[in-house]
Amino acid sequence: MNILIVEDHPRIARVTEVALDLLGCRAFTTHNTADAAKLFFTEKLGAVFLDVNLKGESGLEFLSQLTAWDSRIPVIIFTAKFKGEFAEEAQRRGAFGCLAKPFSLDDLRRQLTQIELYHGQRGGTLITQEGRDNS
Amino acid sequence: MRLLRLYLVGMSPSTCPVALAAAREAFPGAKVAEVGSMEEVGLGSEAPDLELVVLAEPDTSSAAHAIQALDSDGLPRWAVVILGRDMGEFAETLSPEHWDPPLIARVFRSAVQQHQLLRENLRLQGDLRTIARRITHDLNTSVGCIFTSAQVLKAVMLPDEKGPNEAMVQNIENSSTEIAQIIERVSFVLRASADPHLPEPVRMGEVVANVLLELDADIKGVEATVALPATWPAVRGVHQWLHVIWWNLLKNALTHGGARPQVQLMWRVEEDALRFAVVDRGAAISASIKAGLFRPFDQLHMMPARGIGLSLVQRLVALQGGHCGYKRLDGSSSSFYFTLPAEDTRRLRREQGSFDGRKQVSLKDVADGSCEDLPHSGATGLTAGPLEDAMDVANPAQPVG
Repeated sequence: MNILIVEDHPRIARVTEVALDLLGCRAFTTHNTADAAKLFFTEKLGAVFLDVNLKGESGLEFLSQLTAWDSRIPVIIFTAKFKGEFAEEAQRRGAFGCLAKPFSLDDLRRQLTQIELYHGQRGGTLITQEGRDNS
Repeated sequence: MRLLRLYLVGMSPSTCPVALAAAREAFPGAKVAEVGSMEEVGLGSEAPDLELVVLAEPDTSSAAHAIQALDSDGLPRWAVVILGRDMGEFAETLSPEHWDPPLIARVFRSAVQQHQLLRENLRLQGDLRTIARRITHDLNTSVGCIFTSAQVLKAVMLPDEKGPNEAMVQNIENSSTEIAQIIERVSFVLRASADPHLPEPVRMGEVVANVLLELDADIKGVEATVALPATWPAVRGVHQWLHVIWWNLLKNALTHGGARPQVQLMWRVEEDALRFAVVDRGAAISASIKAGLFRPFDQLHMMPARGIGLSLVQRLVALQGGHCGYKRLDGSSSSFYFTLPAEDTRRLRREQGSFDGRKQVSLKDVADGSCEDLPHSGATGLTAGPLEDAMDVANPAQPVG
């Protein structure tokens, strides 16, 4: 499964990328929403992992933008623990799930299982550029 | 000596001499400027350390202008004293019958002192918010990176690389987990203190159920049994804070409650409060440790290194208007309790009277949502003595109705 990571912290982005690779996914990493938007429309993505605290940008606003572009794409937001306000707001804006930092490989695996289940229920098809064009 | 400037605004021929005399008495050597309106205040080129604005019989707009003015740091710019009718809580007000220079001088000094304290308080609150939000976020991000990297390293380690290497990577993982937990706890208490929440109606049964679900693995891990009352009251408090309080007290009981801990969660109605308790059968706590158990968070820097969980409980309970403590019961049990203010204790007493003892509810009930306000436990109930016994020992002066 292809996953887009939007995370401005380079080391977090890198370790998430390696962890996802270890779990059998292919990760595309971006550090800002402009690059993320380009990849969103050019790659076949199974999910987006999005940091809500992007440098100089609002991850939550980008979440709204993503779900407005395509409400079928599962977006997982990175949050700090005990940040209930972010989690609730993200849920209102259509987030598929939250991944609290620091996250373990098991946390990541659980999220991927949920995403796979979701795609399975939708007929096993990943969301593609063509799909977005037709929606 | 800090430079102080007084502005006497809109003084009449009768008020001006009184205010001037008071200013000289309160702050000998301070610069005093007499001006006609608020628009003329603070126009001087010299920036004073402290400013006091004294308005005589101001209109609402001038008073608001004076009270609401902020400096470039976003803090209240000057102390304000109003000679005339009461204009609200943010300025010292003196009605005409009290216009006596010595008294006005005292009010001037008090206003400046309060102004300095207010600015300092706002600055410290800002520091708390910065530490709670920015610094802990940045720390958490870096620690999170170490933790996840250690996990990845362990996962990609080849069999012949294991042995001491794996142990060291495990050390890194465990240490980063501990750091992350400390960051979480400290930032939580800082946020709670800097941004107090207004109490709201909270279903205590729901809070306890969530905590039990969260600690289910710990309960099973130490083969604990947790007994619960048949029902829980609704309280006024902050849901998230109550969650943290129960989490810490229960975790404490699971950790220090001896082998296969037997834990009871309880509540009862007191005169104007609700008391909640976590009772376990752990060893007695020595007097020296007992004295520092619920040490206020702001005094932890004076204590030898120890956990901060109970200090966190103390702060969160105090912020909700309650208190907490520890009692050794009948030589074999320990009770860690907290109270919350309650208004309608008569109704709560009636409700509590309609239940007796404890009820065992499984985690499945919790997950199904089939137990509403009822208690929740992942383990079998205890067959301990009546609920009232343990609670009465904890507070013999308050019999349960």
